[in-house]
Amino acid sequence: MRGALAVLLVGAAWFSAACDPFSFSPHQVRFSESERDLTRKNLERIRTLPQEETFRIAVFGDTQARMTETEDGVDALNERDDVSFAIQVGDLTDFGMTKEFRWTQRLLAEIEVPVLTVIGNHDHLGNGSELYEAMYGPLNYSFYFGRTKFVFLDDNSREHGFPGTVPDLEWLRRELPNDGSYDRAVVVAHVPPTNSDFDPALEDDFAEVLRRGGAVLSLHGHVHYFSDRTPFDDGVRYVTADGMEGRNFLVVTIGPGLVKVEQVFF
Amino acid sequence: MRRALLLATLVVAACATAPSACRADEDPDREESLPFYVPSQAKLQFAGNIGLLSAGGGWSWWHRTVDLDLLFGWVPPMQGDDPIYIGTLKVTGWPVELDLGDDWNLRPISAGGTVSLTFGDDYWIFLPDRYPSKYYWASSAVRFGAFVGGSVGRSYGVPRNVDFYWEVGVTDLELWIFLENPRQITFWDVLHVALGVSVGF
Repeated sequence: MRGALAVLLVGAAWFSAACDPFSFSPHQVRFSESERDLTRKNLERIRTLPQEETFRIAVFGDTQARMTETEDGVDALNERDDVSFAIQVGDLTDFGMTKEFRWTQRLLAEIEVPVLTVIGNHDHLGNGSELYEAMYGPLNYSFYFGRTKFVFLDDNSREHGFPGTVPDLEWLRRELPNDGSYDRAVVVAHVPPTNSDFDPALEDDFAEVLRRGGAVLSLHGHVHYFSDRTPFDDGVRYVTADGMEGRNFLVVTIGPGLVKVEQVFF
Repeated sequence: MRRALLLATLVVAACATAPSACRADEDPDREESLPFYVPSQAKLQFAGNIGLLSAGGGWSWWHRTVDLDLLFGWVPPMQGDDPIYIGTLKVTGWPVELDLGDDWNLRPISAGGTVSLTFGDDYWIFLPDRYPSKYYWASSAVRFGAFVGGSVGRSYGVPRNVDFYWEVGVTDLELWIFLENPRQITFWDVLHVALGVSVGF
């Protein structure tokens, strides 16, 4: 009896390592090596790119479970050769479950240029933030591309119950010192600050941190429509990408005195 | 919660290794003669989306054609910080039992369902107050599953039966996303396998 149980468990462990048909929970934090630490891996690729003064990025909206449209969008993006890297603005999943992160990433992995993501409100469901951290990395991060500074952050205030610390404006202020280390900044966060899911107590402060920090553009998703506005009348453009079901993504050209946003349908 | 899991595991292990310790009644028609609330089996399961290990037990009726079990599952922290604890109510139907001789039996077909509850502050049954109504439509704590499988076992008298069972199953929301995206997701992506042992006493 004891022997049989031992055989069963050893066999199960071997089978598990070999082809992994076992799942312990829809929320298990358990990814393969190629599914892990993707923000760092993509930033390393971005660092090796030629960092032109004027460059283009692609922006994918909420993917959730719209896999056909996402796949077609990836194909359309791969046909272009004028984009340095791509950004997905959050809501990679519908329910923040392990397999959803895996399935969406399987599509995004087909993008030929590096891809960066930010966490969306749906990705927070259950232990989604743990899954996001295991697959991509920190929820808030930043990097330089030439003279442009990119700052990605979690601003899903409602998921945290509006604690007054999401988005983390202290961190954002430190990341945007406007001290001459960059010429312009681009902020990427899932929820637009004018949306009711963004902490209303932080809306004006957020806009001020961006304005003082030298931001020219703030990229968002969440609302599932394309918009390009300056809601705080301070010259900072707030752009929302359409959801992938709209069969379009954005191509943004950034350079000295230049921010051009185009909607590309596929 | 760890202690409860350990206790349940020990009960199963004790039943498996020292049958006489679990002797409840030698009446062959025990299921008719004992009070209805006395459990008739203990189970220990590996995987199946209800824990890396889940342990518990329950009741069996109509000569082992229907099992109802309550299992407590645990997933250790792997690449994150927190363990996951899951409680599951599981019903299994065993329509066919074949006698293989020498007290061995094969139940080639099983089918059943689970409803499970993931514990902890991260998971909710009803939409918390911070959301407007209908903000999300699916509870993050309650999951339904369905499975098919089989078992092979031996009856000893005491314990009455020891069965090894296997299952192939699906979980509601994973299946939902597969059905919405059959071109990008294969059925193999959605299926998961479970193995377990049931000890009847």
